[in-house]
Amino acid sequence: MAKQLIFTPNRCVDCKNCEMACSFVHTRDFTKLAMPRVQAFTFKEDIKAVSVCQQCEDAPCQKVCPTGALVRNPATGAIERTDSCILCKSCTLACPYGNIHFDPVYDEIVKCDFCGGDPACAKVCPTRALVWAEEPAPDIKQDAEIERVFTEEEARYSANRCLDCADCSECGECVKACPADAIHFDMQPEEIKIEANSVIVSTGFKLFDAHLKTNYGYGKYPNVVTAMQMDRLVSPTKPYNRTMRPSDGKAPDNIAFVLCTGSRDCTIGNPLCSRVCCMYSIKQAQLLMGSLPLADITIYYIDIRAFGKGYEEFYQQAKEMGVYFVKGRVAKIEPVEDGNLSVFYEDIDGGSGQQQMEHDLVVLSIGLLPNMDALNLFKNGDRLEADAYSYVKEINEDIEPTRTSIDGVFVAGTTSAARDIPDSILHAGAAAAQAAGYIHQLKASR
Amino acid sequence: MSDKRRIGVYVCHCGGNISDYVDVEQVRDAVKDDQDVIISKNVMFACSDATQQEIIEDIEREKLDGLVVASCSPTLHLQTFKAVAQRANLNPYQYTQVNLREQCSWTHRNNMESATEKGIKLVRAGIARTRLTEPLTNIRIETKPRTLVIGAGVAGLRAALALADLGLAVFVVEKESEVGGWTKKWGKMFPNNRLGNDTIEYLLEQVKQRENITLFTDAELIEKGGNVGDFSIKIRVKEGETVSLDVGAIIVATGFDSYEPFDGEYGYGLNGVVTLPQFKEMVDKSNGSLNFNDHQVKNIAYIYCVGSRQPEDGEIENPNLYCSRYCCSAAVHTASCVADIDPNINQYHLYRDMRTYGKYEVMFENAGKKKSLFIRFDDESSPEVEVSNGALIVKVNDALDGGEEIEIGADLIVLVTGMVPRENESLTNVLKIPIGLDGFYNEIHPKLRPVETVVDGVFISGTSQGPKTLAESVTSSLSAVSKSAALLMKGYVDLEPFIAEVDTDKCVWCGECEKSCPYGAIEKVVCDTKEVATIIPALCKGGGVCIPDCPEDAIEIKGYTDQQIRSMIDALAKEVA
Ligand SMILES: Cc1cc2nc3c(=O)[nH]c(=O)nc-3n(C[C@H](O)[C@H](O)[C@H](O)COP(=O)(O)OP(=O)(O)OC[C@H]3O[C@@H](n4cnc5c(N)ncnc54)[C@H](O)[C@@H]3O)c2cc1C
Ligand SMILES: Cc1cc2nc3c(=O)[nH]c(=O)nc-3n(C[C@H](O)[C@H](O)[C@H](O)COP(=O)(O)OP(=O)(O)OC[C@H]3O[C@@H](n4cnc5c(N)ncnc54)[C@H](O)[C@@H]3O)c2cc1C
Ligand code: SF4
Ligand code: SF4
Repeated sequence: MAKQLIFTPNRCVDCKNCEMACSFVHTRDFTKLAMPRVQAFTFKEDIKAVSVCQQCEDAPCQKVCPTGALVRNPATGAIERTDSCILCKSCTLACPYGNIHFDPVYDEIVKCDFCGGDPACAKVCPTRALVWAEEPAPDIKQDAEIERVFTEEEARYSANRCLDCADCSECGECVKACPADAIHFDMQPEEIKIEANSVIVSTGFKLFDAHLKTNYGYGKYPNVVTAMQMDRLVSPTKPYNRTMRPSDGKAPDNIAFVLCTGSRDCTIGNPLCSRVCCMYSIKQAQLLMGSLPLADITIYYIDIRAFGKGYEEFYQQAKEMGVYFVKGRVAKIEPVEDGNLSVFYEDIDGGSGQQQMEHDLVVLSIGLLPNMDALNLFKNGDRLEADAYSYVKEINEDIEPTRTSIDGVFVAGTTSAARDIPDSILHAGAAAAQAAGYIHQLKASR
Repeated sequence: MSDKRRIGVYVCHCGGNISDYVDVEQVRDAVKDDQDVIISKNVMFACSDATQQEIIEDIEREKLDGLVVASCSPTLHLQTFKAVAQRANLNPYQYTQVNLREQCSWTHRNNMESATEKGIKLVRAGIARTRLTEPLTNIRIETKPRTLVIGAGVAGLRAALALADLGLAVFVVEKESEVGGWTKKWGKMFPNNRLGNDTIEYLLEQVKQRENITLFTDAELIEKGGNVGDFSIKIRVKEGETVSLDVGAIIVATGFDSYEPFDGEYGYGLNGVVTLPQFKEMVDKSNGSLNFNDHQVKNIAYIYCVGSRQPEDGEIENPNLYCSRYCCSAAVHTASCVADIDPNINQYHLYRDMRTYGKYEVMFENAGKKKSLFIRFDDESSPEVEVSNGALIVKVNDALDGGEEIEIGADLIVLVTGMVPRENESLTNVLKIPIGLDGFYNEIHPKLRPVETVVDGVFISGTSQGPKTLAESVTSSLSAVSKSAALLMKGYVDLEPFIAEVDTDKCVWCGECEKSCPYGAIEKVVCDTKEVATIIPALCKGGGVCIPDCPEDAIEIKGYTDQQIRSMIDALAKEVA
């Protein structure tokens, strides 16, 4: 006699205790985002119900799974998702009850596994609407007997055919709903000709591609992220409104920043300092201290370049807040258990040579590179002259900043060098003065 | 309140941002029959084009003379709805924005009933204020197409040229007898090795070629009156003479000073311990070999961050907490120049962080290739300078080598001194512009308004705002040119009319208000033989600090009168029925 989850509808009050218990048991997290395997809801105003996997005898999910990742546990009778899951999501479509889900936060398929034989939902249900009780065991077929609907190849193909209609299927409902008439489906690209006396090129920078620094493992280890990604994770509108690491959605509590990634580094061909990464890393560290007050934050640096107005003070403030600053170039990053990472660095200050430290999230403070598209913007053979590092050259940077090799063309911001926002703005202001002066002189000479 | 008003009230859903937490329909219903409310509506997005058009049509059709939009923060959309009023020929100052989002729905997400009640009160307060509004007009000032530039260093000179090339007249005031500031002193400068003196000669030549630039040397600004677009200024020129001028804008380019170490600071005062500017002059002047005290120099030690990044531990009074930005680059560049003179000189750099940012990194690398040795010391253990057997020694704990103490014998010790703000108290007082914690002139916002000050029409540039290299100083001065030229070439400025107003019947001229005004916007005038205070419209910021200081209660701020504020408080205090 195996136990079953038995639900008695008229006892349920939709209190959602079962959901919370489920979340907590599976993810150590109480939020709804952890996608409980059991769902309580109310429909038609007064019918309270709980939906949980039936562990079907002839389970459509199991049938559709191309890799055989859904395996029945003979001890509990539950069908469990195993590691061979390829995330094709076929099972979520196959389940007639909608009881198997893709969880975007943890990036995995979730379904009820009877908590290994002691379901938490039943334990906490205050009205005994859900109970874990004995019933005649159904005649469970052996997994081997299951015939598959899709081969693995077919499933992968089907998953890739998905048009993401959940995003937009061009149904046009939004056009009707928008009171400002802001949505148009029939817009066409247009070419507009403008005659101008002067042009300001402000096409900005390119980011260093962190994949190129192969010994840092970006793209290989999910918990190695770039500062660009971290900027998103610390922003006020961050996804899911909390800071978490990619591999398992856990709130990180020991974060490392690796400065000068892709800068001051001849091995990847960029000898220059990117000017902004020290400060944005310190900014992110301070923001992280706000959102994760208990987290340890370590910044591995060569020199802290806090040279702007108020920046040194900002740096000292981060030190006082408890950010650790370790002078040392990071040699490599390797994975250890639980998605954590081991950072190998040269301990410059301690003088003790190669050292190693474990972190649960590593942020690569990637540098700025020239956007070389700027050089070829002008079509009639006029190429903007570049400096030795492929930035647009300011031909007389000292007293004619922003002026380029083409008369009447000026640059603003990071088009001619790495700059932070205040410096980019000042530079843009100078470009405006230069362009206005140029036009004024042009008109006066006519 | 006896006059009948015709007010339109629009309560916005903000697509759920407000309506999810505040029952916006209940808010509308609560005020729809309030006194003088002619129209009250709920709208999905008040800021959308369609709703703006709807409001305009309502105003015109119903001949509304007051408008209330209860939506988001005025920071976001005050100007939007003022423009809506204007397009409907309603005076924009008869519009009131009620912040139902940041100050209500977003702050009270858990209690719709109370949030709704607060929303009703906020909207009622907005209606109360609107009921007492009067049409106001902006203060329009015709601008004088002339700019005063204070300081003729590289920043000031370059700004003058750029302004002149935009067809604006420029007056440059330099307090020294020669122009050029610090740059004039320098030989080779990073990053292009152009001579500082050449740069200044070139700029001065250009200035002389332009008829619309007038240069005063040995001169100082001693008075400033008037307001943005129309300042009247007085300059003291040679031999106690003064010149009076009217200008539309002022650009401050008064530069920096070099930090002067105190006696004994890293051995300062000892023979052979020099500051970076002193050393740079030696290097600039030497040819063939570098000599000191008639001896060929063999060993040089640089100590970085002298006078910058000072600790806040109480040992130094008013420490300079900031980094001086230029000095790491200037020091490694100077070291390269030294190596070019005599490649056999050993150069030891005792630094904390090497801040050769951006492309200057290459200079750091080059110095390393030219026999410069870099030794890092910790913030906690500064190097010490001693004399032993008549020779200079620096002791330092080499952080790059596990803190081991090393001794360096040196013929010259160069203190890499930082930039400090110039002592310019009288100028600061005349201009009334604020200085920051670091002592440099302060911008309004480093990103959004980096060359503007709280005094409209007075801009700051170059190293007067904070440490900079030459190119950065020029960049910032050209930025200031953009701002001042944009102001002057438009021909006029419009100022908001929310300024103080004196009730001359009540005023007895005690002078209290004049004392309290931080902008110098209050003057004494004689009005029908009676001495009273008067407000200079373009200087008044409407801050209102004068109001509580007036013992006679004779001052009010237009647009925010006592009566209006009281009516708002009454509305907020009244129970929602
Ligand atoms: C992770 C990170 C964090 C940062 N944080 C900070 C910070 O906290 N504070 C700070 O001061 N700075 C920060 N910075 C630096 C800041 O991003 C730059 O200073 C700033 O973006 C430079 O502005 P820009 O206009 O020069 O260039 P960009 O921001 O690159 O803008 C260039 C624009 O031009 C467009 N463009 C490119 N090519 C063309 C073309 N051919 N035609 C038309 N348009 C084109 C691009 O789409 C882009 O919109 C940070 C940078 C990074 C990478
Ligand atoms: C040792 C050293 C080496 C350097 N090397 C380099 C280098 O190699 N490359 C580089 O890019 N930068 C270098 N710099 C920085 C460079 O000198 C400055 O960026 C530049 O001089 C700043 O120019 P400025 O016009 O802002 O200020 P300043 O040069 O200080 O000029 C300000 C002018 O205003 C005048 N003034 C001040 N107060 C008043 C007043 N009340 N009324 C009227 N006039 C007034 C002053 O007399 C002065 O003429 C170096 C600086 C130092 C100290
Ligand atoms: S700003 Fe800092 S992190 Fe970025 S390249 Fe320069 S030294 Fe490295
Ligand atoms: S630029 Fe270098 S020497 Fe100057 S204060 Fe900053 S860190 Fe010190």
